[in-house]
Amino acid sequence: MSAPEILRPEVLARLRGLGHADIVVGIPSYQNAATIGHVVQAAQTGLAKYFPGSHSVVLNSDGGSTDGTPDVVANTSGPDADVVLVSHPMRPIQRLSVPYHGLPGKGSAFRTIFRAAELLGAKACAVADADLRSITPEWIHLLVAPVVNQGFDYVAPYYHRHKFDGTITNNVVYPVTRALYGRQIRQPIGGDFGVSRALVQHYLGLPVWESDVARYGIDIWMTTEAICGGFSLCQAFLGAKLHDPKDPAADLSAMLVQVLGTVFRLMETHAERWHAVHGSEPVPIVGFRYDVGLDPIKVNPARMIDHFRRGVRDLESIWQTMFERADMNRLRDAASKTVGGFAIDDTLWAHLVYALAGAHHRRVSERDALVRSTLPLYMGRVASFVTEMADADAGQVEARLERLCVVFEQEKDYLRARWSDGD
Amino acid sequence: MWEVVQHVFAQAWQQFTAQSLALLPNVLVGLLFLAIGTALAVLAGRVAKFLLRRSAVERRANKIGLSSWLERAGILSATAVLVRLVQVAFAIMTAALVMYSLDAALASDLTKRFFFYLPNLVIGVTIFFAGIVAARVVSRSVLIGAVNRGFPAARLLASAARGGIVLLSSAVALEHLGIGRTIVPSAMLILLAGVTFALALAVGLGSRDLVGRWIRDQMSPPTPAEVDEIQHW
Repeated sequence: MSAPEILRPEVLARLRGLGHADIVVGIPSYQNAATIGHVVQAAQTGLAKYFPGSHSVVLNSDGGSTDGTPDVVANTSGPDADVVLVSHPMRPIQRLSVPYHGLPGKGSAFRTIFRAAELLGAKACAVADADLRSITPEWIHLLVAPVVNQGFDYVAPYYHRHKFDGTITNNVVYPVTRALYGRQIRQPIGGDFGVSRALVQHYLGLPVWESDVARYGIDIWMTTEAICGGFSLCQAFLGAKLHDPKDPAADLSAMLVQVLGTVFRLMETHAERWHAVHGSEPVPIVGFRYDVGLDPIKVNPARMIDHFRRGVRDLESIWQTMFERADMNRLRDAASKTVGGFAIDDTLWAHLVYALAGAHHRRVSERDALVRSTLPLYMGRVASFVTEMADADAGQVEARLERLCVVFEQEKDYLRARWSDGD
Repeated sequence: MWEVVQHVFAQAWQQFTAQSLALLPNVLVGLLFLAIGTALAVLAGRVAKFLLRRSAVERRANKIGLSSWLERAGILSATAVLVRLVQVAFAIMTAALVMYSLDAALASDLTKRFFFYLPNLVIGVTIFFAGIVAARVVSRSVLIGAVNRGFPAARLLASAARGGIVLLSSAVALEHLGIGRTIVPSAMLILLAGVTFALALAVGLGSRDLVGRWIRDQMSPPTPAEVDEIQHW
């Protein structure tokens, strides 16, 4: 029995009317009227400039925006030939804005984009976030060309970011993903990527689209499945990533649950694979690497340390169900230090993250509550990192993160032990 | 006088031993039932556990989303709950058999009363345990949420939430059991009124400024200097 069609009949009709496309650029959106015009224009210009002979489609998959996002997409003008400097006739680029169906969330938007790419028989599909301010036409080239010209299946983004941005990526998701699956993908939850037709079909065939992954966690899911599916991977250097600032009132603990919950659930799916992996290997980077000047950002480690101390004081009963006594003692010790002497070292941090993964797997308590309760620990680790790297330049920060990743790889036996505790 | 005392004592002792000896077979049979019942309960629990594991109940519960609901209620394993239910059923049957072996008439009377009272008991116990579970879940959520929002009195708040729910569920359960139909609600009302009155006095008389400042501190967002501009991912 074939899978039920996820696209609406009118969307199907429009796609069938287009017939075929070589490249599909997908832009998932929700309330992005302020920025999506720039993203659409960059995508169209990139396609016109770098793939003038290809049939291309820019597809906006919208989650029911009420701020006029689809109208902005519809009214964004095409590339200016004088600006693009094409040297030969350019094929028209089709532009579609379609609503997605299914569970609300980015995953459902991706599913619509992938299904459209499959229907159009596209050789490559790139996806870019709708809130990007720093996207340029070159991003499209960098995300698509490795698939079309070099046979890669998954092109992960590689950005320059402020040394204190992306702290959850730097301190948790990158070290854990790298240690688990043995591939050094620097931005495993970057929102922009390129995929081959084979990988699109692989994704569409996996039974996750009605699960929580479709609501959130789609980025880490895609990276993990690309690695575990044995697809060929590369990274594209895209320069700086600047996007609309996130809502400062957004609940960070809920975001932590979304990302870490997906990472931990994927660990269960691929337990056999990651148990067998030791060390890690680099993933090639395409694109010309250059330094980017980034605006300074305000950080207040004292407030984060206060948050950490409150956690040590009040959440001990929950943490004791996850962490070993020695690690609990080290947390109490850290909480007693002044801001200047405060530190959560790499080994302790790796133990905490791995113990959380084990506790989540063994369901020592309600899973989401376990993850939410670790927000103070995360804040403590960020404060420790910020304090330590206050005067460091980008290169020194990268070297520091490399050391952290090596510790996560070295401590993997600790994870294996905590994973099977009590089995 | 001493002879009378001796006579009464001898008579009492005689009656006691005679009745004890008459009851001894029943006690022995009761103990036998207890031992067999306990062994059967343990065995039934193990068999149930084995069968439930073989039939992949956890996986099925996980698949239909039941596990996450149970988790929220503090129940981490559907198998463990079902095994416990089987054991409780055996324990009740064993208790009935032990009572029948000791005194059939009394057991019959108690059984009748028990079954008559059973619906109230089931509802009362269910309400009480539901309250305990809800209190645990709510207090944990309140604690984590309060810590993550920087609330200084997080533990106090969590304890208050737990205490309130346990108190309420206990009162409702007792009401269903028919115990203290008027006393329990009255006590609750008095307690609530007392707390409200004490708070009103505290705010109105001595601590108005203190309470006002405390509320302002809790409600006001951090000043710009305190806000971090970190994009966590």
